[in-house]
Amino acid sequence: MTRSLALLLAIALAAVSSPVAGRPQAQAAGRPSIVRGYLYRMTSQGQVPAGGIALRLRSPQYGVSAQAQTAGGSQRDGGGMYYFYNVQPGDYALDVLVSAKEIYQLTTVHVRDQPNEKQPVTDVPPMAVR
Amino acid sequence: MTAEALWALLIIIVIAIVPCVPSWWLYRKLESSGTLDGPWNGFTVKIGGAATCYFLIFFTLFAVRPRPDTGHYHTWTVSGQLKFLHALDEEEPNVNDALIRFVPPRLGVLNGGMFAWEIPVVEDANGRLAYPDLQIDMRNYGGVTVPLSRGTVYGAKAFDATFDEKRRTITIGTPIELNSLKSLPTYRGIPPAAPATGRGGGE
Repeated sequence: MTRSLALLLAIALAAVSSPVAGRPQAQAAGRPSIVRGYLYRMTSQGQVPAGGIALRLRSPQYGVSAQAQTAGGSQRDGGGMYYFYNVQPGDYALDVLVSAKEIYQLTTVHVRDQPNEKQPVTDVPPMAVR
Repeated sequence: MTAEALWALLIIIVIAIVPCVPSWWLYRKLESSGTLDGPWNGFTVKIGGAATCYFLIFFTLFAVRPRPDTGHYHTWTVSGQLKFLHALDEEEPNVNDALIRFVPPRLGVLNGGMFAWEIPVVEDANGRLAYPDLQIDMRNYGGVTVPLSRGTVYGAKAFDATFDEKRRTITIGTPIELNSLKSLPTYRGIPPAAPATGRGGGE
């Protein structure tokens, strides 16, 4: 009886001390990365940065991210660029939030683990928006 | 006269009238001879009996009177239309490019990067507060979102915020860091800003 209790206690302790215990949504899979990209609009003058567009990342593992917004201004000043921080390696959907009810998936993003990079960065190819 | 001013006036009237009741009772029934005397704002005050009772109750009620809840924002809806005037040979602008700000609140940054911004916070029907996100952009720096509504969450930089609902303050204890574009690897994705080639979609 005492041995059974000790065995159960050992199993429980092992489960509690496991790094994934109780936090299935927040497993440390690798070094978090910056995810960035560029949105533009096509005009008769060419491509112009699309500022003020709200985006988010979504994954089955980590849920919905904080929102990011594309910066205003010219392309040279970083206009049209968006940045997500602390993104774990994995696969994500990149959504555009037109309004609280109008959300469209723009593309999918694969964030790979970059253990040797000083600051891991994942670049999403430029995308046109209307 | 506004409703708030009328309400304040009504409260003062009530505060002035209510102490009359116990004071009158004291004066008529007990023939009290109690006195209140001593210095007050540079004057020597000496009042007796019912008057003492009146002023004690009056000042007590005045001190605890309900004050109007001022200095906060209400959410209004302003509707209208923007009209973009341009030459005939110019292309119709994309209305989504319009960026709108409203002042106040003036969201300025002081020397050393310090800031104290008054922001609108909407309260829903159940009294829950819906904090907005802060979006901070600066030329040649990567933009940062501070999701006050959600706290530290992936996609944004970690931050430490203390919410004081009584004083209506949010204190962000950790500096909000913005990375200069030069400190990051060059973003290779931006195509040269050349005239349109007819390729309209993304990757």
